[in-house]
Amino acid sequence: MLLKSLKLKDFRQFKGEQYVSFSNDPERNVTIIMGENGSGKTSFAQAFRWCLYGETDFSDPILLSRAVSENMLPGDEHEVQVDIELTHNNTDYFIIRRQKYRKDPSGRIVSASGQNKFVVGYKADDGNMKYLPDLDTHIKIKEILPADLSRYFFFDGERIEKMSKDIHNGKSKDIGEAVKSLLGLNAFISSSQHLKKVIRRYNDSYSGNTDSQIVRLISEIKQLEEEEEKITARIAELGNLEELAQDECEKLKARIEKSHDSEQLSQQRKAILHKLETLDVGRKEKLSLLLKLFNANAPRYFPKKMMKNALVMLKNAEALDKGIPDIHARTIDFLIKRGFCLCGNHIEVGNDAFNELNKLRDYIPPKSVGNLISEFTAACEEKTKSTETFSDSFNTNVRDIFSYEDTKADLEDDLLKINERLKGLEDVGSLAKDLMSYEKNIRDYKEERDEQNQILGAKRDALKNKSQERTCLSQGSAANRKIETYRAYAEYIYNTLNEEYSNKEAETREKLAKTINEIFKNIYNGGFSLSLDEKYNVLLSADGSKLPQGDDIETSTAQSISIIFAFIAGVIKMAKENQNSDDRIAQTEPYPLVMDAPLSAFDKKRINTVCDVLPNIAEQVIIFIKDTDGELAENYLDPKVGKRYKFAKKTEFETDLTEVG
Amino acid sequence: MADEITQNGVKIDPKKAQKILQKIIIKENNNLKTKDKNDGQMEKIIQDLIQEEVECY
Repeated sequence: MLLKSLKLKDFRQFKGEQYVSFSNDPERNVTIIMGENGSGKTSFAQAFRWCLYGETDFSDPILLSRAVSENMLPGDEHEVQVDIELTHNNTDYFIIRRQKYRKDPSGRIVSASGQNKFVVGYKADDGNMKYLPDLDTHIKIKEILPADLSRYFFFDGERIEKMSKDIHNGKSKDIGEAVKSLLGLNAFISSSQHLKKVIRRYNDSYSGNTDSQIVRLISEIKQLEEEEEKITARIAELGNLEELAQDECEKLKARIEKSHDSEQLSQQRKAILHKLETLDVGRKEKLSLLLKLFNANAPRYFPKKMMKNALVMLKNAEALDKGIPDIHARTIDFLIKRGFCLCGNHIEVGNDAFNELNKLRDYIPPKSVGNLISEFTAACEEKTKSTETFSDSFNTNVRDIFSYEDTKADLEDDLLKINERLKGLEDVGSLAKDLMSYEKNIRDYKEERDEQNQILGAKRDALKNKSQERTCLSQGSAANRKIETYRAYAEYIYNTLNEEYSNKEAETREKLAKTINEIFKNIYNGGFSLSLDEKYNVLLSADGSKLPQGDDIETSTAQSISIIFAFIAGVIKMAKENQNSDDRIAQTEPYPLVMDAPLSAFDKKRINTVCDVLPNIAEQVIIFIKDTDGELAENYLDPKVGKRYKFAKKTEFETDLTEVG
Repeated sequence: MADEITQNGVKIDPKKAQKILQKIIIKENNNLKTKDKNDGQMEKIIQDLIQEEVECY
């Protein structure tokens, strides 16, 4: 697949229709597109992904140019469109993706649902334009360039490190499959799948017309094959589950390691929370005690001053006492009853003597003021005395409560600090629980897999015996003898094919590893080597290191980028070599390399190397570069540059594409 | 006879088998590019290829 052109219509910064034609000249296979930061290099690179796969890495899903959307009225609709023209397998393809947007009454731009159109057309042998049916468009794109692998051909420098980790750690599970496909191994895979079905077809073709034993064997073999298939599928599923669980375990272990401090902090947090709880209970008790003390003593304590003043005043109360000492109201009653006074005067109800005597009642017991004063004084003294300790007790309690408050504030402060630290960490206990659960799952999967393998072995033995039995019985029928022969050939070819595939795949992987390593050494030149494992994960090791093979080491940014370059360039180089090879089996397509800001992390020397290596390896290179890297890259790439474009930034939301020179 | 081997008690001519294998892969490779045939059709093509070659003594 090689790119011929890209046309944008109101896509992000690119207002109106803007067109770029890529260089397809084998001698000058580089197209340079230069632009300052924010001018739309990434948008341009993302336009490829959107057109081919309908996805982008933008956080804002609206692709409509803002310069256009700002002039739309509510209800207005406008379309974004990207057209790619490319050549694949000697056929010219035209890929068009279109999305309609509408401005809603509130002024927001929304994508008009159901208005995403995707068309794949091609130039037929008769020169006329033909279009693929809707259902076939995605299959065709997958065949041209699988989405999973496209990230490596359309990549940007800012995400390069993540991509490097993906191929480095095998995170992209399909990468191995995609690479095999690009390196021409797909024919083996599909042949193997089809041959397996052909063998099944032959198994179903035996004729049992003349022999009931063959009929029985056909049925038993069919059942055994179905069981074998189910068990094989289950074993594969268990393998995948085990791999996923293993992956989760690794992730959890890393998280536990990272959050190791959280365990200690969690314990501290628990202790503080317990202390706070105890403090709260103690504080409540103290407060309740304080209130009880207050309620019991306050009514006596607060009038204390008044009582003291009253007692001082009452010291002179004796002068106010008009009573007659030792005379009681009973004395008055006696005199009235007797009818004459001590002085001899006659006493009669209502006379003067009677009235005078009755007046005395106010000054003599039980109503004597002196007595009341004595009683009051005694009561005041008793009450004052009982509140003597109130103030101290009250103050002690208040001090205790304040002390609780201070301790609580300190603890809450500590808690806040711990919570802050815990924010970035995870609960190790919960992670460990998850880890144990996954580890148990792995043990269970292994156990079940072992059991299934034993059952599978037994089924295969039974199948072999039944097949031999059927072979013997088939000799009696000419038709069955033929089927027996065809099936034997199909099985032999199937086994040979799988063996050849296995060898070819190992050979291809080894060759790819060698190619990648050579390119890496050329680019990085820093005493490191690359290798590939069985799943096409890239492993980096130091030259002369005593570490066991596959024991990977940490990578710097420059190393990561070099690894990615080497990996992509290696795949492209092999695909290109296969294209020119006489081996009709492994023939593949050439691929372009579309790179967004790839040189920023390199020093001058490495920029020179990359610029020298890539155009010689890839059939086509399209490179977006910043002004800062531009001069260098342009100098180094100059002999290979076929076309030059520049992003001319008009405003923050509008960029024009212009061809230079 | 040294070239002959046995599969399930049936004598196989490895050269013939290799020839069939090459043809199958070429057909598969072409179909991967054109996607003209579905799985069932490819199985039938392989079946016919085997029968044709085996019959051709």
